[in-house]
This record gives sequence, structure tokens and C-alpha cells, in this order.
Amino acid sequence: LGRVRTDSRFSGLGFGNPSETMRTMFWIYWAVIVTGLVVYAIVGVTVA
Amino acid sequence: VRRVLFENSLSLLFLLLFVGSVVGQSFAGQHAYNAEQVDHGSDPLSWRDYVFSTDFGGAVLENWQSEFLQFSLFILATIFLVQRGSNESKRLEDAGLESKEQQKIGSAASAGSPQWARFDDWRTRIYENSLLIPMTVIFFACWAVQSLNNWRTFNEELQAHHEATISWGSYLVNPDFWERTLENWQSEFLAVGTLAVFTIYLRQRGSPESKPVGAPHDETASSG
Repeated sequence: LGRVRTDSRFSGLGFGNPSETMRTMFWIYWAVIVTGLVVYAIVGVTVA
Repeated sequence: VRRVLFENSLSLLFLLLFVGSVVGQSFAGQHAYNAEQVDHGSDPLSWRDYVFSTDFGGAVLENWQSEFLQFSLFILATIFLVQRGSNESKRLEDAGLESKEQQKIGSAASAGSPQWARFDDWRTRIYENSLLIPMTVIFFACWAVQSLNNWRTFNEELQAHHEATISWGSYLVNPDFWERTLENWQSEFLAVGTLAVFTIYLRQRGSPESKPVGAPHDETASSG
């Protein structure tokens, strides 16, 4: 998703810098969707 | 930390609302499901078992698919179709894919442009559709998973009534599947259409979903 500028003021706070958090939000949303899809695909295929 | 929270406050709010709602749905759904189980003389399900049931899976996914359909269609339709005066539409003269200059592709890319926007080859063709493609794939995936879960639930009910179960293929043309699908679609389409039309005449100060309060009614695409 392009190059990410880092901002040292926000490093080392445990939250990463704003750009890293932006990327984290992107992947959290992906993770929620993929997890839901995989879990209920398994439920839909396997539950008797 | 405060700055990081502020800069991501929109996505954080909706993530929290999502988690709260889906947890609430699981408890409410479990109670409703168990009330029916008791009525039919069957054993109630624990919360954990209900969360991993096809009843809950179908209910969650049928709403997911309709949301992703809504946004996929909206992203696609707003490329080519316009609504004069609406903030949700682009300017009438911009209808279509727009020029490379407008889209900052290839030599028109700026310093901060994503790398795949600069190449102007197959990579750019992928990247220039990288919002619509996953949204559409997620829609079809959610719809397929919904159908599997709804199908299992439907067969459980048939079995409970000592009737013959049906195949997944038969379920896809069953009115039960289409009722669950269309009841979700209709609400999304109405809401999107309403937003597109309401933003012609109505305003919300400070919201990018609205035109500026003082914008003329026939001004199109002027996010506030």
C-alpha cells in the first residue's frame, strides 16, 4: 500500500507510529472478515 | 497514544460497535433459539455452541453479504452513474474512469503516489481496481457461506418435521434462501439511494457525507 512515512515521535509507545497503526487497522479489518468467513464456512460444511 | 487513537477513531469506533453488536446478537440469538428449542421439546444450546451453530452463522453472514454487495455496487455504479446535486455522486462531467492525469497514474503520479500507480502496466490495472475487487470477492464469499449455513439450518428444520432433506443446489433456488437474501438487499439499496438523494437538499455540518451547509442544491460532489 505504498511507502509509509514514519514519525519518530510516536515510536516506542507500544502503539507504533501513526502510519503503522493505519496499516494495523487495515489488517485488523481483513482479519475479522477472513476469520468470520473461514469459521462459518467450516461450520456450514461440517455441522451435521 | 491519544494522537494514535484520534487518527484512527473512525475505524476504531466501528470496530468496537461491530464487536459489541455481534456479541449482543449472539446472546439475543441464543435466547431466541433456545426458546424455540424448549417449545419443540429439544435441548437448549450453550452460548459457545450457539456461536458455532449454523443458525448464528447464517444470521451473521446474510447481513455481511448484503453490506458488501451494497458497497461493491456503490463503488462500481458511481464510476459511471451520477446524481446531479448529490454529494455521493461525482461531477457530471467526470462520469467514467477519468483520465490518467485525474487519477494520478503513470507519469501523472505524484511524490506520495503508491508504487503500483506509477508503473502504468498490468500492476496498475490491478491496483486501480483494488478496492472493488476484494469488496466483490468478500460479497460472493459471504453469500456462499450464508447459503451453506442457511441450508444446514433449513435441513435441520426439515428433519425435525420428519421430512426429507434437500441438497445445497436445491436450497439455492429455494424461496427460504431468496427471502433471507432479498430482505437484506432491499434495505441496503433503499438506504444507499436515500443517502444519494437526501444529500441534494439536506445537510450535516461537518460531515464529509454531506455538502457544506451553504452549498447550492444543484452543486454536485462538494464534500463538506
